[in-house]
Amino acid sequence: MAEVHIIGNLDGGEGFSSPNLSCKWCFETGGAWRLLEGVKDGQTQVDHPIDEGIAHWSHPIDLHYAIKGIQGWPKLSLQVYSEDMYGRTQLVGYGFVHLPTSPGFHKIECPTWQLAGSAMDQVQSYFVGSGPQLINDDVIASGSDRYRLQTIASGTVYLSLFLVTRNFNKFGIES
Amino acid sequence: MIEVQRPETQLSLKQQLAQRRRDLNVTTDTIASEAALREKEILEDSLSKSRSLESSKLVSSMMQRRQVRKQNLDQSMGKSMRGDGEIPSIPTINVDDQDLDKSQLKPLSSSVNLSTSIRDRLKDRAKIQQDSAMQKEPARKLRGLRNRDLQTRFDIESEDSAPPEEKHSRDDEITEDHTDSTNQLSTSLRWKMLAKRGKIAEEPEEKIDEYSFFTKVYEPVGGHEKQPKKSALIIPEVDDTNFAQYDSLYVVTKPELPKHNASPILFAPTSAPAETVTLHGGAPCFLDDEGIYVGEPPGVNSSNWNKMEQRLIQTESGKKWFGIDGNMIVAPDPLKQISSRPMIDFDVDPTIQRTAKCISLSQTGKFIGESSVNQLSVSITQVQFSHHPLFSKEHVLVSQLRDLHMQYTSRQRHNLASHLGDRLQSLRNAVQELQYTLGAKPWDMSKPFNKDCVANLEDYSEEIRNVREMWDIECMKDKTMIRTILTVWKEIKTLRETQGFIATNAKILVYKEQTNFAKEDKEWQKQIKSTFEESKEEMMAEYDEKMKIHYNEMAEWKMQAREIKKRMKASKSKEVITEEGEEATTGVLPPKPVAPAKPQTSSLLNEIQSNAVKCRKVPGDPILRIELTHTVTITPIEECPPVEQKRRKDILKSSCYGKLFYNNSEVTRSPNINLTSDFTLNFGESVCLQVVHWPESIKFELWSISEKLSEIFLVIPPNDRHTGNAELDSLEFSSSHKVTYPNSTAVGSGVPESVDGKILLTSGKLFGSTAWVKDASGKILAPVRHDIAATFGRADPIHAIGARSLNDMEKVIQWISEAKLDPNDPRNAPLLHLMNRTRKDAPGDTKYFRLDHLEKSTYFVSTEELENDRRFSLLSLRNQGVPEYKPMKMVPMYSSEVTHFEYAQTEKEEKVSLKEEGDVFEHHRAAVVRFMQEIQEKIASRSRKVRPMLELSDVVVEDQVPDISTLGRSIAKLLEPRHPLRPQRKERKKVTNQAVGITKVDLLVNVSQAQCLPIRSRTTASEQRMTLDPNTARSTIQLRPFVEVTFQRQSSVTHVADGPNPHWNQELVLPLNVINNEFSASNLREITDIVYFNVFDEIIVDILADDRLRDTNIHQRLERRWLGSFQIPFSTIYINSRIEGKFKLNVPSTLMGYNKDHGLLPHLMTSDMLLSQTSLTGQTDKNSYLTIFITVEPPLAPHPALREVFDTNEEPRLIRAAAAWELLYNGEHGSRSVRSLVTDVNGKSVFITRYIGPQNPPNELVPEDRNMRKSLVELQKIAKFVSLIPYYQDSIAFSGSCDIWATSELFLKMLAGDEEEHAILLCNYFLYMGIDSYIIKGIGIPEGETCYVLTKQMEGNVLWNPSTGDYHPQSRPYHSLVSVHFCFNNENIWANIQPYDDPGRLDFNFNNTKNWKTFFAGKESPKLSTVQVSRLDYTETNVPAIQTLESNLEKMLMDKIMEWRERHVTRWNRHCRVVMRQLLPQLEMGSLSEEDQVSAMSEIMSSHNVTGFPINMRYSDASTIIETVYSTNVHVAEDPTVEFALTVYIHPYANNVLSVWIYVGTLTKKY
Repeated sequence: MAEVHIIGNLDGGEGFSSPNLSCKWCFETGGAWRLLEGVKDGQTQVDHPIDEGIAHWSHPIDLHYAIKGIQGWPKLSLQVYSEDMYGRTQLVGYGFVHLPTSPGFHKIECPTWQLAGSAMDQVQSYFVGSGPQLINDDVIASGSDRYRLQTIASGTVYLSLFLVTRNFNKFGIES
Repeated sequence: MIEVQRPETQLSLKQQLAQRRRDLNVTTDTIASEAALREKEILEDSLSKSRSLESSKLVSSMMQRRQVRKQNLDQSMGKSMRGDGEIPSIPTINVDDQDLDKSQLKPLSSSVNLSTSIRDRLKDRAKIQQDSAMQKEPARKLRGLRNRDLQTRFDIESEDSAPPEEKHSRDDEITEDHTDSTNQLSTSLRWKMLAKRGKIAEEPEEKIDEYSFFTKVYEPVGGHEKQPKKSALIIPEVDDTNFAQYDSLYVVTKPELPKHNASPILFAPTSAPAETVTLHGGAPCFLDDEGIYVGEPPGVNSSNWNKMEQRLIQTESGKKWFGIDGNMIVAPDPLKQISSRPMIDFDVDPTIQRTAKCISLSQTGKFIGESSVNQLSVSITQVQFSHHPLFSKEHVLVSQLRDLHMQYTSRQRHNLASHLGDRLQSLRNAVQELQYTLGAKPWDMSKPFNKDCVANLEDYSEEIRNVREMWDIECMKDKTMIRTILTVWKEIKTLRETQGFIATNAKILVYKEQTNFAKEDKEWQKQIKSTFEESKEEMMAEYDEKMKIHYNEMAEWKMQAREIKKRMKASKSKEVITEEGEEATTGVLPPKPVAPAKPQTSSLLNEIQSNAVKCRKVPGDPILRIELTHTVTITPIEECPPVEQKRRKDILKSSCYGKLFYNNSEVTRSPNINLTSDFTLNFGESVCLQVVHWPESIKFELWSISEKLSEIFLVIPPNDRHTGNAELDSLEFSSSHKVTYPNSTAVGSGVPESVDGKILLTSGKLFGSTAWVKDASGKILAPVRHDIAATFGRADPIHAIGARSLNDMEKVIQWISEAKLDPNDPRNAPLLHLMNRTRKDAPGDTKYFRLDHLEKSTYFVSTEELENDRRFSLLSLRNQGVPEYKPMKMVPMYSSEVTHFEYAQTEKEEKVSLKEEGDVFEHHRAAVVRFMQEIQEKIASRSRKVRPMLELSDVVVEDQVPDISTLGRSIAKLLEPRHPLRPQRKERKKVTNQAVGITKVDLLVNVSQAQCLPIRSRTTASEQRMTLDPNTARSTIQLRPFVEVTFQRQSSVTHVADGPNPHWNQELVLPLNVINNEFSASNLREITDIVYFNVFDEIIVDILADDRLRDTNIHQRLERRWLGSFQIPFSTIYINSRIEGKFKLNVPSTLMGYNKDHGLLPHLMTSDMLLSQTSLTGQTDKNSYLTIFITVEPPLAPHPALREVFDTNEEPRLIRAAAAWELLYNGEHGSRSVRSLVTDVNGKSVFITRYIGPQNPPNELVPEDRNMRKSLVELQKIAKFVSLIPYYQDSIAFSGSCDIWATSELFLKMLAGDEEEHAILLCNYFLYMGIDSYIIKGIGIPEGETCYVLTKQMEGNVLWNPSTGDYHPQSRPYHSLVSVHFCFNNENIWANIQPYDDPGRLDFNFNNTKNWKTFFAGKESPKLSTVQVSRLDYTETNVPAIQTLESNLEKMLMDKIMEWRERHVTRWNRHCRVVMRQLLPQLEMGSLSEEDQVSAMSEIMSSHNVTGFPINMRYSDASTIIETVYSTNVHVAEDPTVEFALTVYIHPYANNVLSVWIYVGTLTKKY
């Protein structure tokens, strides 16, 4: 039975409107994947970098999947939040990335986007903070129904992950 | 070329402009400027003229160009025609060409003549200018002109490009003329030079090139196409210095224009509509007229369309592009009619709910609403009877005639016969056409086209046959119609004659129309002929078919015949014995199939002819037209026979009236209307109804004087029908009532008519209309109905089958197949697609939907395999934190290596199974356990869902930053008075659950002191002996107590102190053992172990046998005598994190050899003790207390209580109020907390007061005497009963997550519950007894958060501990209840807002709002219904079962004691046991005093030293009893002569509540 280990960390984020960032992450897999150990979603701390524009989280990720088939290879969906000087959090980016399928070490950069919203929203967010958010987070990682969204590019989230596969050869999957 | 020249002019203009400015500065005289102005005017005039000329020239140039283009094959047509906007530039070139004659340019021959005249004129004008300029500043004038156009030089549009060019040419001329003039400027020279250079560079051919730049679609000839454009862009930016570089760009290679001399090669289509062309040259037919869907053609300019058509017509092959309708074959417009831009609904605030007002037509939604005015107009014009009881026979016939005539006229109007005839004709034409197209080889199936044609042909012939038959039928009908009308008319005529008078005015007029025989005959013959042909063909086809079958049959038959022959031959060659039989078996040859007869065509013609004669009008016959008039004069009444007279009189007498009903309620009724002689009722009523309900029915009832004739439902008008456009409806009605008129000619109604025996019923027609009123502004006052169906078109399934049936797939499919939708219509596409799909799917019949049905096929491992993998299960179990697997550090690599692995399920089951033996209550207990588990699981799943929110303090260990308040406090501490002798405990920092690295947890017990311990009786032999002992200084000491703390079978003892009020002040440390050594919150919570505190008296028994050795030897034995004990469950310690206080010691009521009377030793009593011993009730407190402090090291944060919002059935208002109240209170009084909502067994929040309500205690506990009911003694009995119900900590049962409050009924059923349940039950019992009682929620010792019952009695307030059954008056200084948080009863909740919270100091007057904060403040409490049942039913305890249990227990305990004393021999004293056995029931009754006991035992005590005590406890299970006995250390008796006595008595109460008494003692023989 094939297994996949995903070990690594959520390094940090850069290029967002504010460097005080935290990140909510969630691994999404298809029906053939069964999580044996580890947590598939979580949230990092809020990092307030002092001297550089990059927020470091170094948030550990450790998952162990048992798989029936390789359909639904895990993808990671991210939501980056920033905290302002008043302690309010606001969403600054949605991102999603497919995990690499080859075993070994991978440095991944996940570009993110943010909802544009209407002009009214922008004015409002200028004064009050925050902005439009997705009602359903599934949209981040699903391919459908994105055409309605108008988005603005946001920063990048860095990940470094090790992928360990087991028994893939046994089932004829060459990696 | 134009572009080339532009920069030059600009440059020169620039220079001139500069100069002009200079000049202007120099010359300022007015005359000059005036002249300049005049000059300008003139020039402008000439310009406008030239412009108009230009336009005329434009047309001509266009014509010219077209000619050129006709010759030029390379140029495409469409483009050139489009480039109209650019055309004006062309003549200007021509002008230029002419002007530049001298500079080697050849003009275009075609335009020479046209432009010369203009040129001449221009030249003339220029000369005039020149002359004037020669006189007065020539340059200036020109500049004045140029200046004006300069700005628009490069942004002029193509139409305006002519004038500057023109001027340009003028410039050239002028400059040329000025070359020799002396005052000529250097600029003009330069200009000329440049101009020349530019022109030299150009070839004459380039003109064509430039020209075609605008008109032609370029083919990539060279780079030169792009250059002009480029230069046009760049040149304005360059100055004159580098200009020379640019003209070199225009050295262009000669474009290879093919020369064409032959003129007819080119064809220019005009935009005139082309003649219609059809495929076969016949008349065009339009498919959409025949109802076939033809899509909308895309919008194309009609001129383009026409040109295309013309072009196509021109070529022979182009004709195939035309369809049968004579138009080009066009694909339908591919554009959607509706804009498909997606709606962006971003800015819709999701919090705003938009609700659509829904008007339904259901019974409840009949009301339209009064906001709109809706008026319905109902008009009833006339009622016409088609039969009336007063009809005479003639009337009957006339009405019959009228009907027939009406049918006749309608038939005439529709003229179906001729329509069918026409159709037949057109079909025949179509067949002919098809046959024509099929040509010579109509049956050549190889061509697909032919195949289609043949199929069509078959269809056509089929249709022709049908139409022909229908036509015949219709013709026949027409014929018979006329015939019947005439017969009826004849009947009427004869009737009128026979009866001698005329009752009706009906008359039939027949018109005959002569016809042309020859023409008709020809038609007739033709018709017959074609019919004959067709029939013949059909017959032939049929014959062919039959023949084919016949051939097949023949072939088969032949085969058979051959076979039989063969067989016969074979049998003949063999021996022939039974020839006949053989013959029979081999079979006779089956009869030869008969060939079908060839159809006889001879008789066919006759048949057709006779049929035609029968059905159709024979040629030459006149056409009959029938008309019904009412012109006959009716015989006046006087001339009629009396019977008729009577009838007519009856008619005059009879009258009717009508009633109008709207939605079955009567709206209005009409006055009586008399019947007219032609049997009509003229109502002429019109009613206007103001409508507030949806119209469901509009009914008109017709009443004769006494009876209802009929009811007629009028049409409910659609919304668009208003009074303006409403038509008169005619509605038929009939009535079945019977009327006869004897002695009159009236035929009556409902009775068999005399003429033909038919039963005629009163019937008729109502003429009326219903419509919505249209008001003055033209608005229709109809209610607006949101009818979905109305929005759909004709082919609308909702309309046809109703919206509800849309879900029913079968119905929809049926409808689709029935509706015969046009498959070409894109609107029907989804429906047809649906049909196709369902047809396809039909055999499969899939009734489920799978999202990813293909995914399974990609699996390489089945789900079961994955599920059953032991390693994976182990990993996930470990991950889930199942206790057994959680500590597992290593998991094997391979599944095969996973050996000792069992599923968690089996483990759990084992837990449940009971280990104790022989217990009658096993079943009950098992049920309880099962029930508990159920709830436990329910709660657990609930709490698992709500992951406890981590707080910052759970994650981050952070010391508080000292601020001003903490600093101040620490400074204040320095100044505080110190009490070194009264040390205060420091608050320790708590370790949170997440803290890692806890490897060892100890239980710290600080045993401080004990009070009022029983002292040894003086009679005790050992003491006597000891007092005799001269060496010991302890002669006065009556007690040597020490405390043993036992936890998890580990024990620790204090040192031995002296006296009945000893001080130990010793800290004992007991290690805490946890499963898997993991100190997680969940693990700690599950510890069910109990900490036992036992106080023993250490007795030194001197066992030195030889007194002589006393001086040198000490031989003593230490014996411990149990004095009392108490126990605290570890969970209580864990939850409260520390327990501190004075605990009441459970001292047996009688302790053999000990005395509780401390009165003898007043000097040993502290003042404190003295206080505690006296109570206001006058009784002496004989209880013993132990002061201890227990905590856990390191401090463990208790698991936070799950403050979860559960579902509730309470009113939301109450819930809100409760939350607000709690918040308000809990904020104010830090440590105290209130709760108004608790969780019940079903996991729902219930308001706390609902638990309280009077409930009946078991009958045996209710005293007969009412006065006795309130006595404390009786109440204590009840309290005892309650306390005997087993105790079950919720925190253990439900993982400490939450506190479950069970109802008393459930509590009694389960016989398990904690303080709340006990308190509630007790409180309810007290209420039943008529005592004002409340429940106090607060902190108690040792249980922590607890419940007490407060009763307000005559003696004062009494506090009851429900789990022990003890009671204390409130005034007593010491209470096991430490603090009171709030009280409640069935009506209200009172929160304690007094500065104190210990009950001794509290004021329990709840009316005092200063001291108590009420929940339902100010007003009467809303009597909330109780969740308790009003009457509790108790089951009788099974006495024989109890007796067995008793003996079992006794046996078990004895066995256990023997087991514990394995090193010694255990002897049992039977006699003592018997005595004890007798004592126990009396103890239960409470009627036994200590003296009685002593006297009862005196006999034994005379010979033995007896120590012993009775233990009374509730019965939950045997193991607790054993544990309790063990903890008394009775078995630790080292004396070899010791004898034991043990007896068990169980006193049964109702409902299996048992009071267990164990009397255990040791006896040692007195020496």
